[in-house]
Amino acid sequence: MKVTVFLGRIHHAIKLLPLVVKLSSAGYNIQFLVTSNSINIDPSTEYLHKYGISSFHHAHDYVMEHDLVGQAEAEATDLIMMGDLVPYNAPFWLASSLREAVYSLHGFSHYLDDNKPEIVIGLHENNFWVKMLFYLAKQRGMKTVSLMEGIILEREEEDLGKYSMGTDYTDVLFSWSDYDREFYADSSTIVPVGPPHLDEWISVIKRDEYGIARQNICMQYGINSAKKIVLFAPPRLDLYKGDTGRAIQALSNYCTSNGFEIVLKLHPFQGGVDQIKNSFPDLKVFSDDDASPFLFISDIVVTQTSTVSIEALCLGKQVVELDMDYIGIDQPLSRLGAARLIQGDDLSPIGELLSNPVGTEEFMKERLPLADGRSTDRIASYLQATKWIV
Amino acid sequence: MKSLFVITTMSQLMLDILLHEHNENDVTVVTPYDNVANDMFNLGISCFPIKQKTMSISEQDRMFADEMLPGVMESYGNFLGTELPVWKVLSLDRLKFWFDYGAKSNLDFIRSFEYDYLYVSLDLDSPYPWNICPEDAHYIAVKTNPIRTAEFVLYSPRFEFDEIWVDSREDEEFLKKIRMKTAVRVREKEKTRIITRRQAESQERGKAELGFTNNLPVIGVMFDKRDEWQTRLFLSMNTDKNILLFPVDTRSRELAKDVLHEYKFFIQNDENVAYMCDEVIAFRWDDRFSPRKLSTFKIIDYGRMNMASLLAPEGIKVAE
Repeated sequence: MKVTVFLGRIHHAIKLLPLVVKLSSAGYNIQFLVTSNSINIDPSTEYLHKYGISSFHHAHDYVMEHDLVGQAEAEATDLIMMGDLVPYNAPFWLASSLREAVYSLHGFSHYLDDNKPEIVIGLHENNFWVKMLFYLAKQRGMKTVSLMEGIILEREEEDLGKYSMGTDYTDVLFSWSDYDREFYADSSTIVPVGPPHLDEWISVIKRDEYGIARQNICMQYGINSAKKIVLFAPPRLDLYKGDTGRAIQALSNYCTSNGFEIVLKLHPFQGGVDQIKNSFPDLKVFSDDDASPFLFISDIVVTQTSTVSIEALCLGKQVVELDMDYIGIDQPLSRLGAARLIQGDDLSPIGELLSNPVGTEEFMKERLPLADGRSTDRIASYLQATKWIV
Repeated sequence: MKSLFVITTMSQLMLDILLHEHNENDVTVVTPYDNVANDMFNLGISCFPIKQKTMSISEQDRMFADEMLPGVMESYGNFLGTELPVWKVLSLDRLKFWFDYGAKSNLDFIRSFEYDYLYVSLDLDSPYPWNICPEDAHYIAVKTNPIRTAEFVLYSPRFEFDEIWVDSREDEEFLKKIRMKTAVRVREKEKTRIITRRQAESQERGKAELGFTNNLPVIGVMFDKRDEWQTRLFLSMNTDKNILLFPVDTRSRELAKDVLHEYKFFIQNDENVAYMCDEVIAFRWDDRFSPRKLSTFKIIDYGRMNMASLLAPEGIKVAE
């Protein structure tokens, strides 16, 4: 069976490649599809080579091959002239996005027509490209499959209706748990399987290979594995609730004086990384795209982000929600007993949790019973059982 | 006469006009950006900085949903030949990232001033210059940012300015070329483009110094990561030549090493040696490429995707 996997950005690759490995070994014929990001500011090939992917289809190749550049430019111009002035956004983004969308639509259409995949997989349908790709695939009777990018934020559904829009053209969305089902407009498309991107990490823990794997990763990053590791994984700093500089300094002081290793893992889209490193020269600061290795080696994860918290819990870590400035945490897991909330300057609960970890089995059993390292197996089994034929 | 300046980015041209008007007329300057307000302060020109109002993330998201899901974006209809609405693709995963929550109220504030002339930065990266649309005043856009871009060309039919001021004849020609209906005024003299082609002997000596002794042509390729796709295509079609790749920045240099390795080429960081190439190729027009001044410089715009024949100044060779 021919399967197209769309890898628009590096986090698509991080989340989708474990599934690709499973489907390839199950005999599926996998093709990768990419395109240019905006004005190609982050070329796909920059991250594809990290994963050894040298064979892929680029949407622009199809625009060129079918001599559609002139038509695409004319369509983009027509669209720009069609609508009202948008008082909130710089015209650059409207013009560049419309141009990018029209190129993608033509490129994707001809890619699908020329290659005829039976299944098209994208990370999630609210993505700019995946929305178009799934629309076109559905028109052609191809099956569309997506995963969850991260944990569902109830506030985002209330304020934006974000998840209700996430399955317009999706046949199956493989979710992390049954709990996610109620947020989607068409709950019949939701199939709970667990978080596939964590399978390998969870499996290593289950195979009792954790110690040696942790040591190897620590060595690779220059982190002292003999110490307890406190990972601070904040959201992008402009979205951090409170004074980030104060939080980083306080955590650093607390860990140093208590003999813990402190690691700062910045959001992959964080700007000014060098400046942050210069401001905290004694701190181990990383801005890698994949947070999983850092979650894996840590003993406790300090964050404000619910997806990071949930991922940490899946790997059996203790979680602290840090609110030093009393601003509040979105959807706090501490309210459900799965994390410890720290408000104010007293960071001693970190040491307490490291000495006496809190059990999170009940929470995991109820909210994430499928985080057992077999999520990709479930997806492969589901796809095989449905025997989709286009 | 009263003149209002809404400045979002600065340029020498804007500064010249501002200082001239400041001496002649009653001038008010408004800016939503702190860096411009600081510039004005340093110049001793009084200015109204517009402060962004503070909103919680929840308030911001609700406002975005009201205004853009679909809100004003509904007017853009569906993509041609589809039933896929434009807003479903653009709103959440593009425009939301750069949504300016304070823009509408700030625009109301700007409109509340009285003026006969309105000067704005010709700045595609800000919503302010484009959305004031005064009914009575003379509306003038002053060049502050590069204008030879695809996005500028695409958006240009929507310009509602009475006049556009630029600082060179080259820009005036360019605006004519894209059929700009707005009146264009040039404020400064044309700068002469310097052609620095070296003599053949010097070129041959340079080739030998770099180790190219095989008599095959030496082609310099300006490598911008944005054109990675075009570069691969070019390299695959030119395996019988000596290729010198000039990465334009650090990321492009890394990318070249990582993903173009199946082709044979040499990375050269010093654009000054481009003179010894028999031909220097770029895949787009960009003011920052220094070899653009060489007579051997040529743009290959595959599929006309980078609009080079439109954007490059007169005299630059463009193949499609």
